Amino acid sequence: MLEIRRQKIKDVEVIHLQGVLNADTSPTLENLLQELSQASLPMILLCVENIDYISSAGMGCFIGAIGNIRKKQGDLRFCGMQPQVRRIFTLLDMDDFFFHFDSMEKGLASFALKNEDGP
Amino acid sequence: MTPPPAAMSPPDDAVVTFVKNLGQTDSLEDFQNLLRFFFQKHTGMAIRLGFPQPDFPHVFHFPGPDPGQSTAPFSEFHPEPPLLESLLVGALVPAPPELWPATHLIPIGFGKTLLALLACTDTTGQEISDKKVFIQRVAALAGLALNHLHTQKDLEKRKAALERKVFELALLEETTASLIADLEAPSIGKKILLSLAGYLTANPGLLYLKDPSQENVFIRMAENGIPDNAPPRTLFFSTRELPFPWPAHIQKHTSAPQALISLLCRMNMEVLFPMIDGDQLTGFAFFGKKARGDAFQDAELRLGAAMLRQALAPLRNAALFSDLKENHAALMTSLGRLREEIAERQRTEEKLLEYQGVVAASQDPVALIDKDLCFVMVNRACADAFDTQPEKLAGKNIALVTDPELFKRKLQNPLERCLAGETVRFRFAWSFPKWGLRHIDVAGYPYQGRNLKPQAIFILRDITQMKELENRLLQSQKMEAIGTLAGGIAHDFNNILSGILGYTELALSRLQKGCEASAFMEKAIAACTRASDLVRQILSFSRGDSNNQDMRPLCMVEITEDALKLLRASLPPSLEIQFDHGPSPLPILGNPTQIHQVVMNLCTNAAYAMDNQGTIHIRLRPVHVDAAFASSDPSFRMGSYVELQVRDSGTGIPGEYLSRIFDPFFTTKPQGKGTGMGLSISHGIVGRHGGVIQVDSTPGKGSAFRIYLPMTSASTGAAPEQIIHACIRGTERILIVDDETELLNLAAEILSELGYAVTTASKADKALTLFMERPQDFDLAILDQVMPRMTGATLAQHLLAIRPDLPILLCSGFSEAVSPPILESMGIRSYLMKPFTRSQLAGAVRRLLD
Repeated sequence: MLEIRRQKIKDVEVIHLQGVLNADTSPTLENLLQELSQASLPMILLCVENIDYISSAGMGCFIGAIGNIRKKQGDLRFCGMQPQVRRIFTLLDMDDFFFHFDSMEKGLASFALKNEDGP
Repeated sequence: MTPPPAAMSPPDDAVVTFVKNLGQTDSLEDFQNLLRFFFQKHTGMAIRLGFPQPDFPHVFHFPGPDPGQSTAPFSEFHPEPPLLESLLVGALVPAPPELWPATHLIPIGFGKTLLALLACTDTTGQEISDKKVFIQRVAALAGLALNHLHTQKDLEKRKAALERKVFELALLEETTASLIADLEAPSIGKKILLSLAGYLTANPGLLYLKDPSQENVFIRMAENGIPDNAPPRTLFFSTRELPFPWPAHIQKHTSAPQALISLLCRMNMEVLFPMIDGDQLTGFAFFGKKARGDAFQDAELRLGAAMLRQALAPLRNAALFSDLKENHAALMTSLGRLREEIAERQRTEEKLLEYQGVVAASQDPVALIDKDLCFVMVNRACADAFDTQPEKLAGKNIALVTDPELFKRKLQNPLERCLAGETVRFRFAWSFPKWGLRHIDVAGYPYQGRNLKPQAIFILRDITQMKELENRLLQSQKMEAIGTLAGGIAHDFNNILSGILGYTELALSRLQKGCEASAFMEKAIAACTRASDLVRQILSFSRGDSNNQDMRPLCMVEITEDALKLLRASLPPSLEIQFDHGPSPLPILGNPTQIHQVVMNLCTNAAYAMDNQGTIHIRLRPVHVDAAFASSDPSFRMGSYVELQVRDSGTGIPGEYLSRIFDPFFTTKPQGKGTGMGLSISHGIVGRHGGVIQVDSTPGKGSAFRIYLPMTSASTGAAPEQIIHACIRGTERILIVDDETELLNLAAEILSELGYAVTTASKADKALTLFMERPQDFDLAILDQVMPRMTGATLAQHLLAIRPDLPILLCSGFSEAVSPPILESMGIRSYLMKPFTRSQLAGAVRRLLD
């Protein structure tokens, strides 16, 4: 249903997701995000190019984690978002609340500029 | 200044392009700019556009470059009815001069709807009239384009709304599908909280569910995001005096019961969703601010509440499932306990059966007796004793199955005492229907059965045989006492005989040959010898086996003769004893006392069988046991045996008794006449000698007992004790010690006469002193064994300590006091049994000195 793969590139936790992120699968990701947000400067890049669908529960994971992450000057960003997923962000009016990038490289690069563009 | 128009009437192409461009604008701002530019270009006049306010279609605002500003001298224009009506029909009308002087208003509409007002200020008043037609044409075209723009905007809005609706429906469906499959409350809580948090984009989120085991207590089941203050694990909230319905979602500013608003504030949250299932408050969901910080929309809160309601049924199921699991676990536990109980009961039952088996198998009668003195339960042995079946005995009163007199006298009292809780033990003789009169030992134990009524367990033990054994033991102890007594008498008796024999011999030796008295003297000597033999036999008989375990070469003829001599004296003259034997001494290796006893037993039995009349035939002969003969008894070895046969012509032994005659205590003699041990002892003795005992009997004609004892080689035959040496004289010095003065003098007389130098002492200590003074002055010491203060054996040890080479001859009238092996170990070389003849003494002395 949901496959999660972690990768640490420099200081960025890169999380590769595959499958669907719905009410059944979200609690797993939520746990991981809560864990990662304990870091002193959490920088998380979610690669969602292989995610076909995100339900409100998926959004719940991001919303639950982002407050604490940004409080520590960290961020949770996305890359490779497909249109149907992006549409859900739009519908929930979260389109410009999170940064998203076409590719992982750009996403990583955005963290390299670090905090300059925090919304 | 705007430049003058190039042409009063713009070419159609320009109008077409303008309309096309207007139709493609996607905002009112673009629309306004395009229109203004077109007017400016083709009329040279500046225009302003006013748009109707939302919800107020006839109030117009003329927006400026900055939000909230107006291009008009007023912020809003509300046309009065006559003016409005003109505008609605498309008329170009002057604005009220007090509001907006020198300005004309041109309606831009679609059908009867006013979509915008175009304000055109013309200070000349002429230009408007000149260009009226053009202006109205452009206004009409702009109306079409604006309507198109509005329609498009409206469509887009509707599309977005529809899309959101679809999304929301999908959310509901997906959430429901996910929750319904879940049976764990924490998991359901987490899922619904995440879904709601994502939908509302609110953070943090908390979910509390009712504790099923406590009234008004709610437990934190899930959380999302980290609240500033750690949320409590449990909430206490009472719904009393807070009647439903409640609002589905509550914010601080909404109208809701104060308790709920207080709860929301206390939790420092923005929105609260109560979870109400039927008439039960089952939980709360709290959410903080929206991520963007904007206000919650009513619609989204309504949908949020609807989503939360989707969790009610799954949570109900989860509670049921949890109950089910608990019940299942409880059921399993009690099932396990039940199994354990069953197993325990089975074990108990098995044990009970085992006990029952043990009681049933007991050869001793066991009976359970109730307070009415009736049998409750008996074992087979008990039923057997009464010659009936156990089930027939149950329920019967004891008085009915026993002799009423006996019951009253012997049984009733102990039974009643036992039923009262006392352990009783007693013995009595009871005549059982099956067993006959038996001696019974009874043990009675009080018992409380399952009904808690007092009962008594009676265990009966047949002690008839034990009692008989006790009698036998008593008998044998009596015999032993008699033996000891006889031994004591024999000692004195032998001393007396020694005196008579010795002096008679002395007298005979001094009589002239041919003297008439010599014959009398010789008869007296013979009588003395017989008396001496008799004493010896009595001693031999009374001595227990224990003193004579040692086997030695024996002459079978001699020992049989000895026995017969004794027997003769005890049997009546009417009974004749015939003894046949060959010249051979028939040597065997054996215990003389025991062999003696066997002969006595067999002959006594024969005499009894013949009622002390007739002839007992006794025969001794050598036999050779060959293979054929040996096969008659496994104890036989091939070789030479001595056969002793004792045959009588008595009553004979009935066939059914033949197999039991060698059993201990088996006797057919009346009480007091026989021990029943004779044949049993004989059988044992013969067996110990490696022999065989056989019997032939014909009832009415008599019996023949044959004893076979292995013959030993002739060279180890009986010691020739009886050989009388010729009186040999001597001159050696002899010390004689005996407390009996008569005998001391007699021995001194005999030996002095034979030429010896004799010194006498009547006391052991005196003899010792004498010897210590001149130990080398004696060649031999003759000591009496039984002396006061110091025995002969002890004195001998003292003497030998001084002179180890001193020959010592020990004499005694009671041979039990010392045994040859002990004497030998003490260094005492020879032993002489009193009474002794002159020649025996002389021979013994000579043998020691030589």
